[in-house]
Amino acid sequence: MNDEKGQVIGDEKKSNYADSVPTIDTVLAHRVASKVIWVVRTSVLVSQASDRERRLKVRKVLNDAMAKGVAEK
Amino acid sequence: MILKWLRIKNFRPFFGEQQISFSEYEQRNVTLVHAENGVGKTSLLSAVLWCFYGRLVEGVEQPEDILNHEAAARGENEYEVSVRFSHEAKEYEAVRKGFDSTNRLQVLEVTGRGFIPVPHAENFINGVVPSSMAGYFFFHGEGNLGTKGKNIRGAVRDILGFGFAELAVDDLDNIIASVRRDVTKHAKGSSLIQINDEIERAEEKAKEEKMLRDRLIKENAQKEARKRDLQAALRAVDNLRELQETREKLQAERTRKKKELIESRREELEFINKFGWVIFGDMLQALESKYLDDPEVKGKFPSPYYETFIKDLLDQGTCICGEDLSSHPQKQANVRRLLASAGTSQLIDRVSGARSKVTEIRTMRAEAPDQWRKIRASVRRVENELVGIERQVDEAEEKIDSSDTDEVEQIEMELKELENRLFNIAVALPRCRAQITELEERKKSLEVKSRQASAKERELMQLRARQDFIESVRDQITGVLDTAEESAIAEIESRMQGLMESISRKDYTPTLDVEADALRMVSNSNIQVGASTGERLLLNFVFISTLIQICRERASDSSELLIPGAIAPFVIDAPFGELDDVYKTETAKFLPQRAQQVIVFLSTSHWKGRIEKELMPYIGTEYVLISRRRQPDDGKRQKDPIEIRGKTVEQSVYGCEVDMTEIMEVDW
Repeated sequence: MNDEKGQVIGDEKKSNYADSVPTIDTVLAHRVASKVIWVVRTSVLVSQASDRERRLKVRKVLNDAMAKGVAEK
Repeated sequence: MILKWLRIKNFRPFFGEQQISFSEYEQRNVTLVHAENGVGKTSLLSAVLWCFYGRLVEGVEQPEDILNHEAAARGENEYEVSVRFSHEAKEYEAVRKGFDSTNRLQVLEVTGRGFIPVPHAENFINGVVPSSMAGYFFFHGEGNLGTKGKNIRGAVRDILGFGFAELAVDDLDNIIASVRRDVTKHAKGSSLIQINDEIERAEEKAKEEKMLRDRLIKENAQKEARKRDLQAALRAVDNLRELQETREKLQAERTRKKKELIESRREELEFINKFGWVIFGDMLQALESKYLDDPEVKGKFPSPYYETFIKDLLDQGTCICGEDLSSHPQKQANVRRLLASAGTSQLIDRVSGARSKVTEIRTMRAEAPDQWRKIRASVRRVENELVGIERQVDEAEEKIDSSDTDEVEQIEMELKELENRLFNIAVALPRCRAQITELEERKKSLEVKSRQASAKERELMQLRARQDFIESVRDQITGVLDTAEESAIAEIESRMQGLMESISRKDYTPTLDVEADALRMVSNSNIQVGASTGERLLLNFVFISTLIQICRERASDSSELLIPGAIAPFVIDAPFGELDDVYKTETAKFLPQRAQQVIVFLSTSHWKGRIEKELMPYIGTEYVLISRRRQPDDGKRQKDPIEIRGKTVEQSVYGCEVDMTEIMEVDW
């Protein structure tokens, strides 16, 4: 991690959390943020989903990202 | 986006199908539409917005009233707006059709071979000009944006394409709140550290007790051995052998009796445990038995009749006396009232339970005295036997002591000390063992709790990690938004200052007060100055035109988090409002330069003065909205004449066949 903020967050997690907990880095957070916005945008414009449906989709993006974070680690 | 034409059918004041073509010239880029107030300027602006986004200009009166009244009166129920436009070298036609309160958008690509439907029409239009930015391109100049210190920050964020990112932040905040609630819930039940501390303490205490136990066992063995040696020594003294043997036998018997006494006393305690409550409950059972066994009550409690019996009577409609209840509502009501006091199966179960408890108390009460007498007799017998043995032991000891030799005296003294110590060990050892057992059981139970808490703690850690993760995603977005907003505000201020310098006659500087969410004018000495209504309108207009300029520059923005900007015509309704002549002139000068295509709606009062002169070189197409009314022309009605290109046009015409607004092209 090059980003100073990301480095701090990542190190903190490593020292405090169990092995199953993924490290949080800025690159991953940025990638997930883009994906979340994309999901929100398509939910509104294409599927015209309700707030609840849209948030479920956002949750799925986050869950997938967390799971992937664990697998990568 | 460049608008080619707008076609409207039965939309608000516009009856039938009418069309307006927009100027596409590079130099003469202004399309001018003249109309008096209330004739249809705002409706025309609304038609563009409605076609693209399904909404009207904010604050328009009766927004649900879209179908033209004349058309409705003739039984028509469909209305429609089509906009032909070009975008990135292709031509499209957006068509929105309305029927009652529903409507549907279709976008078609116009090709040499015909029309090709564009999928996801709403999405496509939002890609061309995002809905959140549309309000600034299709701008209602008499609206109050900025003039009352409202929505300034929101406008900047809209034009920077924050819309979906802000919605995503809202969603993430909502999810974070939900995870936080879960964390709180788990954290409440989590006490792993405390439990593990308790396990450690129990382990330490058990270790100490085990050491004590081992020490006592060892000491006991040593003392017993020493005792045996001393007893043997006594037996070795010539005339004491028999006495000593007798004493040892008596002492052994005394130990057995003591154990017997302890057992008898334990039985005493057990009896009290078992029968104590019966003795206290005896008086109560006597009273209850008296009531339950009373011949007057027996069989009538809890009620002389049952709920099912009353219900059967009501179902059959016949009383027990043979009376027909169905034809006598009063009697039926009387029978129904009995339900309130009827016995139910639940009540009967309770009474039955109470009877059985009373019987149990009575039986136990009868058995108790005999058992108590037996236990007491046993205790007394053992106590007496023990007293007898103690006396015999004392006599034997007295005889041994009377031998009066130093050696025996010394042995006896040591034996007594040993006995005392062994007695103390005998008391301490079981207590110590019980303590160890209790501590080990406690440790086991704590270990179970620890495993449970540990599982919870793992879940808690995962939840916290989840919360941190989502917060970091949210912070990524807000970080990008805040940075973009900060730099944009500085840029907007700088551009507004440049524009105002060329327009305003005063040496004031426009600023964006983000904290107060307001546009301000400040003097050279950085003091806020009060702006007139016209100046506020000008400030507002300069702000909006700067926003659309930035939006245009952001059209190719490839940020993943923000919606790209847009190139679109500047459609403005009543831009000159309450500006004085000087400001009107200056505004008219720079207006055509604000966008590639400018569409201006003006009333006659706005047209007066030097606006015509300033705008004329830029006008590509020009229209007048004519108000046609059925009311007869009595010669007194205002005909709202306007002079355009040397010709006078009456904007209000009376004695027409229908009430409507007509779009008339100025083509002379």
